[in-house]
Amino acid sequence: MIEAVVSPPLPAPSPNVSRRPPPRWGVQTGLIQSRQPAFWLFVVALFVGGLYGLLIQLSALLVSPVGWLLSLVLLALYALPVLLVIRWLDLYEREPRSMLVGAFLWGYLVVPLFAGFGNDLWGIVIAKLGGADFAAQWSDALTAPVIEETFKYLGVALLFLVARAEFDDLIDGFVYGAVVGLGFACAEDLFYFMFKFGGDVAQVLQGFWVRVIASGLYGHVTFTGIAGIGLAYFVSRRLDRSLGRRLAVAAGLLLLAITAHFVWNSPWLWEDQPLFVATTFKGLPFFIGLLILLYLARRRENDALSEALAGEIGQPGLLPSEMAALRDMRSRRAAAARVRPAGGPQAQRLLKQLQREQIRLALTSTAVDSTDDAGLLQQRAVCQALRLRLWQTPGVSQALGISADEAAAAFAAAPAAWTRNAVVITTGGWALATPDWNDPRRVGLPPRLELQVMQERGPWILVRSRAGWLGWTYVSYLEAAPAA
Amino acid sequence: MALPPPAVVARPAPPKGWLATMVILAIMLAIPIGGYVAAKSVIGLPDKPIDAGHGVIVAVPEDWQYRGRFGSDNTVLLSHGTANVAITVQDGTDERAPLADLRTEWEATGTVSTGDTVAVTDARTDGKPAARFPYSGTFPEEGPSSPVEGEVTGVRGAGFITVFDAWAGKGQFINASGDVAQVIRETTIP
Repeated sequence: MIEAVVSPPLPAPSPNVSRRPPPRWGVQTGLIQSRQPAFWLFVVALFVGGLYGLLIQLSALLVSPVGWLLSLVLLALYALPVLLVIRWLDLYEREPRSMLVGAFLWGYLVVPLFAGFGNDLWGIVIAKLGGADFAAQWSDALTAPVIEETFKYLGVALLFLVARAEFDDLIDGFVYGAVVGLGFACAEDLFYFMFKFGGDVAQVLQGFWVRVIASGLYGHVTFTGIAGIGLAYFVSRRLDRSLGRRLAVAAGLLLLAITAHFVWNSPWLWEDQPLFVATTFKGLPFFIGLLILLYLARRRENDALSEALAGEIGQPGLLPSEMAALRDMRSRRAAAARVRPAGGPQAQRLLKQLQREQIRLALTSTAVDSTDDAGLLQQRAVCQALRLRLWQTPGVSQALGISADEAAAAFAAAPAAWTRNAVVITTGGWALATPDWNDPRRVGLPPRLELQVMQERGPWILVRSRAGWLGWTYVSYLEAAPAA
Repeated sequence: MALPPPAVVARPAPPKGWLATMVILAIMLAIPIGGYVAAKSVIGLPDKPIDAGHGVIVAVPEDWQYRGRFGSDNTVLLSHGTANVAITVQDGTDERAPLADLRTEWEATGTVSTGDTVAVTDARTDGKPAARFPYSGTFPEEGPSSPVEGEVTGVRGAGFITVFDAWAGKGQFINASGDVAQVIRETTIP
């Protein structure tokens, strides 16, 4: 009912935590931003890349329709789990689908075109200047890492320019970088399956073994994921890190991605070691580096979650004792493990649902400018209702370490069951997200709609519908409900 | 309804990012255009010859790639799509001897079958003696392997034999056979 508002002013820094405000996780946009020049560059590049991609697909289809189809199926089997892992890592603020699709298409369509030409042309230069032997050994290592990483990085940078609000933490840079890398890896793999390995069923399977099974973890997803974290650091830490430091981190991680790609493409180890040994030695150190970066990024996100929820502790949506169990993934799992023996799998599911809604509460709290926002109040109510359902299971509150007094207080604070005590006047009315006439997020209230008054603030009334929806309306739009 | 239309709330518009967008566009164009200009400026330079040993200079057909040298015998590898030609120079005076060794080795795998070795008179224009045998099958590799077909040609030089092992995916060798013949014919063999 309420449309999201983009770009509200940043809240004042809190002296208790850091100079950096919590990320604006709850503020979500999308790829379609026709007022942004970067969007149109993205569209044009996608169109040109799409034409090239179509040509490649048709050529592959002509080589072997069965091989082409098998390639697509195998690549889907590879890409979907990788995408799911990337989404799973992006726990707190799931990136908009349109942005993820855009990132994948940039990698799948745009990078192969531009980087392909770049690699070929600069490869000629290397062959002419360094000779055929040098070029055969080193051309792939000298051209592709710089050119491909640059074009993938440009895609992530364009996505940032299109939707700046989506880059509010380091994980975001990883997500977009990794998805761009995944798109490019799929395009490159398909090309190799069909045109280098040969395209028939056995050759496609052989290509899948060599390029995906034996080396899938260490390729473009890792490289661009690393570089993306650097870009996200540069754009999301401008309030608490100097320009020099941000530049150094961003440039350093891009360089690390290029180095990882260089080591991968270099002739070292390929010829004289078994495939798995070579891929492990060349890829594992950088993959571990990425995991460390992700661990640090996740730790920052956990801190940001605590900051985002700081104002919610003690409110109906989040009790002080729940915050410790919500702080990070390990704590959440530990709490779920404690609940299962006491309340069974159903209680465990309920706890996980409560934790998800409390994380959503953090997102909501970062998206609103007022603690009176109906969306925030509603999310608090959702969490409160789930908690009360969970605690009704015998033994669960004790398993979670909730004292009897705390549990009794929570039940006592539970809102009364819905009862109509007001109706909208016959001419209808409006409900707003906040008690402020300037708030554009509003919906019409149909005449005679039955409502429950939850709170009064001067002439503003917080009302709840039978369906659970909350909104602020003006006193003159309501009249007392007739007796039942 | 009594309420007036929503008041327009002034919100800071997100920055347009014109400059950053133009910089990205410039880099996107600079890499291929720069590559084109650089390639054009060096295209006239003579190619350094690919010496396979004993003065054998390998001819590379257009669109084929030189993939480098492999193995202890410095085998030169050319490729184009799924087609490959591996060129090895060995000491010897009988062009059939290295071919016989290869046939024995490959037949022993049990997955490769070879045809008879026959003399070839039209492989070279300089009249150097040559022999050839065809083969097909699957060579053991790490992971799944796919069937290939090809032919090995030995050409006698001055105290050495140049062995051209050409292969492609099963059913695909025919498409490359013209280029393979060109490599064998145009490679300089003293």
